[in-house]
Amino acid sequence: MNDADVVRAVCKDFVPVAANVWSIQAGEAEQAVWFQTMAKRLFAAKKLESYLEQYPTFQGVYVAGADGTPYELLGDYEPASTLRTLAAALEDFRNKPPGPCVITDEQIARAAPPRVDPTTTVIRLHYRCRPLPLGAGAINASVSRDHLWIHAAEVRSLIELTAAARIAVLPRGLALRLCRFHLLDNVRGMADPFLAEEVQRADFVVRVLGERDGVRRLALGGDFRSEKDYPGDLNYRGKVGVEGLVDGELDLDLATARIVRFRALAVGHAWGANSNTWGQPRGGRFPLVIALVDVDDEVARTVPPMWLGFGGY
Amino acid sequence: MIGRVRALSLALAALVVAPPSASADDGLEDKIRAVLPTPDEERWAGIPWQTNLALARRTAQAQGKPILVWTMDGHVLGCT
Repeated sequence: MNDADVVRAVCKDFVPVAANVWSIQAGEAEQAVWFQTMAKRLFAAKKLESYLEQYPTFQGVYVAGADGTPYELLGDYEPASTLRTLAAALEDFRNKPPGPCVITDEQIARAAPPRVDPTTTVIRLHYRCRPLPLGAGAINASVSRDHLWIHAAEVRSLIELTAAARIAVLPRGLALRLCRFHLLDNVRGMADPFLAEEVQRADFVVRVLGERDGVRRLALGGDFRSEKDYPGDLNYRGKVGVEGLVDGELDLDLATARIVRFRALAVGHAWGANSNTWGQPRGGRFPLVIALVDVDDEVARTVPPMWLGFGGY
Repeated sequence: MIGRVRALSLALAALVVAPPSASADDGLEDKIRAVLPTPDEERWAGIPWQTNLALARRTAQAQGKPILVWTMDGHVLGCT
């Protein structure tokens, strides 16, 4: 989906929708039912029911009409075949256009993704394996992302702690959330989070650098290590872990109790293969760097952290 | 012992006299920028993805276009 010609084709000829398959492949919400009906018809048309039995997921790229008429399902993500499939879908759409359907304002309101509380700070994390080890598979050159939420109460706590002392420990809930759900090897895809007892070090400290015009600047330093080991697991591939150091800065607006600037870098190593992120560099430990930056765009306000709702988030 | 106490005192003194708005690491922005996606790596993010499927259906109908739905384990625009 990153190929320039594919991007151009999608922008020009389609109305593109991005979604988490967990929110639409099951359940009885109107749009989920629309999607499930359309997807099942496509899988049946392509005689892929047995695939669904083996891999019960509707992950993929679909082309459909507004009324649910199914046109195409992308077979792979190679640019050339993607362009051919999109062209075929477009021709099919023009030869057999969808029927009319009514979509009300109420349906649109019900389908709107929830927005994060406006008092919550959203941090976007980007993950890389750098420097890329020699011989590492191409997938390790990926850059991936996630969102972290920092709640207003945690910011207020930081303001209070740093008013009382120039050095303070990051609130434990935030430190654990960072380690369990975000300081992960997400480079090749969605890594498994850690349980609280699998976080061996979550030591984060803030230090007041100064204050001006109602904004207090803090330095952030951290030392983290987490590891899981499930030898009884059917797909056991050894221990999985991360460790490293974090350096950063954040600016707190004292009047609004908001983080108005957040910059941090986690540098360390990871090891092992998560359930969905195999293909890691060989040889045991490999580099992991994570950039953390505050964001406030539409994606930040509507796309939640990967593990929101998972125990402890 | 005296040396360690002196070192700690010096460290604390440095904290007290730090000028307002000073940065701890002037190179931090450059290091972070080096990790962020390049424009070439984020072409897909420039596509005007809708996250409201009902709104997308209405838009598609109005514009006479098909809908392209990209859905993955984890949100496509977040972690997946």
